Amino acid sequence: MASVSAPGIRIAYESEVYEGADAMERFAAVHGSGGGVVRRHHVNQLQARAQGDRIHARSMAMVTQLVPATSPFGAGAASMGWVGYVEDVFVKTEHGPLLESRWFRRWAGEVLSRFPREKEE
Amino acid sequence: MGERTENVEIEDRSAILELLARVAWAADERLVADFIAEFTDDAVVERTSRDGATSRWAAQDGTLAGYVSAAGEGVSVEDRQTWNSDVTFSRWENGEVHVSSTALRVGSGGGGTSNVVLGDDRVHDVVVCGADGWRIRHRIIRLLGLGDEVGPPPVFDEAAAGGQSDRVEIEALFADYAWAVDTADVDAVMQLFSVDAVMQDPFGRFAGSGPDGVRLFFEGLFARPEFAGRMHMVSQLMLAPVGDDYRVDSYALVPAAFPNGAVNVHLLAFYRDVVRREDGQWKFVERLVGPRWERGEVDSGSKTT
Repeated sequence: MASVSAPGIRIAYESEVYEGADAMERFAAVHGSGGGVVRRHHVNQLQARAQGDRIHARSMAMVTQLVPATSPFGAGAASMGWVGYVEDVFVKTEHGPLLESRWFRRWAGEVLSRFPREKEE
Repeated sequence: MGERTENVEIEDRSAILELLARVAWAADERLVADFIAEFTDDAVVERTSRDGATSRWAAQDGTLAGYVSAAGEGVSVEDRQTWNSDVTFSRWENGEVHVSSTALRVGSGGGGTSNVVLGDDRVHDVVVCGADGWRIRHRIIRLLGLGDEVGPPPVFDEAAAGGQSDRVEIEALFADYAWAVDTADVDAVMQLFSVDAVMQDPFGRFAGSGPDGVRLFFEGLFARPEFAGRMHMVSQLMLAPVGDDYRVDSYALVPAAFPNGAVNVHLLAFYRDVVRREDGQWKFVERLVGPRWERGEVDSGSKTT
């Protein structure tokens, strides 16, 4: 991650914010694989627009995960664990764009505001 | 093998993505000859399962075809999709391109509405370009849970990073569609269709054309409360030129997020589109969504299953 991240990268999952030199490590410790849990993050359907020396992007995202091998039920089975979207900001550098911030957001709230159900709530 | 060299140009990346899509479609449809045709004569496929055992299929000893049936072992499903996402490329001095991707596998039993995640592999391909275009020389598949070694980070090359390809622009059209539909933005949706567009959705039992018909379809869709929370993700685009247009076959996966945080894989489906560039922007001229179409059928609307 370090090779594609800007110094001072900021990672957020909903309202949890990870900043500072070890932001990626602390984020991965909670949301990545480890401790018997295996996860994989996917992003697709990317939309991006340049704005000065930054690129703002948003992508649909999903996280698959495996039932831990220690589980008596379904050990090793894969499932869809989370879906949502990520909002990214990249900064352009001579070495290519670097990720400056990433915000993981559930597929809820603002993105569903045009639907009748959300308006009624 | 030598050293990594310059970046992979966008035209080559587009061609390699098309190759990955053809391989996935062939394997998922169990079309053995089509699958083998995408590999070199000395190709090898290796798959390491979670217990550490590695299976091997090779073109030279005639076992490569066996991978197609092996890929579907373990669970009985009506249909399946193998995705390739988050693809990275690196070119080496000897002309090889190393491609790393994730391969989500989803099975369906029930006309696309009873779906299960079969796996989520890491795939490393070595691809080479010969007289017949890009083909795979070596594929290594590691199942999720074996550690996730991604490929080397790409070497940035501004000249290679620039440029554009029809495929990239058409992928952007599909992304714009997904965002517009899943956020119920009917005006944004309408911007993506030509004025004479035809939309058919056997799942929704709808067929309509022209701006009024297409708008009516989406307004009806967005009025359904259960539609909120669904996400229309697309992969494995296969582009076939038809005059100045393209026919595009693609995989669609529709996970649904529920207010309590639960997630399901609501729908596994297939798009068959005709897209056309109008005033500098790619638009849908025909958009069909439904269960899998026969590969050979090129007439739009002639759904068979």
